[in-house]
Amino acid sequence: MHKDLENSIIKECQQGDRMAQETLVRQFEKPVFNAAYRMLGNVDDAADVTQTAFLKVFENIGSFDARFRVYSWIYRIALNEAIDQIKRRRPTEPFGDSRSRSTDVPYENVARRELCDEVQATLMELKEDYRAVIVLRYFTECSYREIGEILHLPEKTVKSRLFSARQQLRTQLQQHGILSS
Amino acid sequence: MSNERVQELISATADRELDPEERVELDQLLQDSPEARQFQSDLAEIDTLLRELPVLEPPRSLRTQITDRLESVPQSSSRSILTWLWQPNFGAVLRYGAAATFGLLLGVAVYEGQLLDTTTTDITDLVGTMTSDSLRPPTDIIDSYSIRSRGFESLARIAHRDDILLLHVQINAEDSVELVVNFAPAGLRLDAISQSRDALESIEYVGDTLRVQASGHNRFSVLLRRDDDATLTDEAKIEFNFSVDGRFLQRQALHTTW
Repeated sequence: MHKDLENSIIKECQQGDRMAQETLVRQFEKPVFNAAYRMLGNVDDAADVTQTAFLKVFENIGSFDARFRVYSWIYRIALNEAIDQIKRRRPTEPFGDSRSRSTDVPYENVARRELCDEVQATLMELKEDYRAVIVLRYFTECSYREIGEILHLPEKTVKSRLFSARQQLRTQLQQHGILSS
Repeated sequence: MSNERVQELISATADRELDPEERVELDQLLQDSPEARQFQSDLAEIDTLLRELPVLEPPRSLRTQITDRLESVPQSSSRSILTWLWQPNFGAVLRYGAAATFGLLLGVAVYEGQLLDTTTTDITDLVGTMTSDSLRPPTDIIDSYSIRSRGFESLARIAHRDDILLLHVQINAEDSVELVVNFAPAGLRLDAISQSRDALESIEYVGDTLRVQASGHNRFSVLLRRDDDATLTDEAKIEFNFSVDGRFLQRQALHTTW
């Protein structure tokens, strides 16, 4: 979404305009839901987090800083909500058993579906900090600068954290036999 | 140079976040290190695995659940001023009547505009003000559309109360888009138009046709009446034609009932 268009919609959201709010929901519902799903590995939890995140967005939209892009702000709220959700469930109700939970996801064939489930399950084994940078990089297509804005990290830290996340992911994928050692 | 530094450079390459100097440095290191090449190959494979994960459609009920719950979210009390643009050929009584009806209809508000005697069809000259709350669509919506394509989206809702129809249109467009709506085939005539201030590039009502040129985020509302001369069935169709630089973009229709 173009920045001017975005600012104009935010301004109307701040004035309580329902159509503008719906526009914002329509624009970001899908990427936020997908980011939440990749963080949590479960469709129902991702839907809950998406819903809560949008409500927080509109509760706090009056304090939105127009110097930033709105998606950075929305993703930050959604990721924080996802991480809170993970912490609330820990340690008795582990997330990430996505091997048996992806029935709603469209796949061309069983083998591909199994592979995708394995990859998602491996993602769930990463530390939340690492998973967050992977999710932002791959599922929201954010740059280092944008990831830094969202996670309140310097770009240098984003770079090294992505590197560490990939290293860990590589090791885990090798252990699961998805990637050759 | 440490192995970790090489791998960090490879990781940054995968993100296309390497500066030219680092690129040259990495190319040299890759030539000299089979391990680094293996790491690069693994990262490329991981990249593919992650990018091939499917994009999920959110549950259908999610958007409704969010928007329903928005009703309970505290709203700011600030209001924006909206500009009223009046169709010029109606008499004062009708205009005041429409304003009063619209005010009652929407539980509003203030019309601070003045009646104008102009016969011009450039309705952008005709200005009044209303509060933004007044232009929210009422709840008894008859029909709506929502269209979206690259760099463009539009939503519209039509609602009726008694003998007046209220059409509420929103256009979000990165490039300038033209919307043409002809109300005559639906047996309707335009009573009044309102738009957000400084929003639309141009708006004209010529003959029975409304032409709107818009880019950015725009909203406008139209009051419509049943044309006295028209033979109406219980249903009527209003067509919306969108184009960019004369090229057809989208067509949508709303159906009304009386």
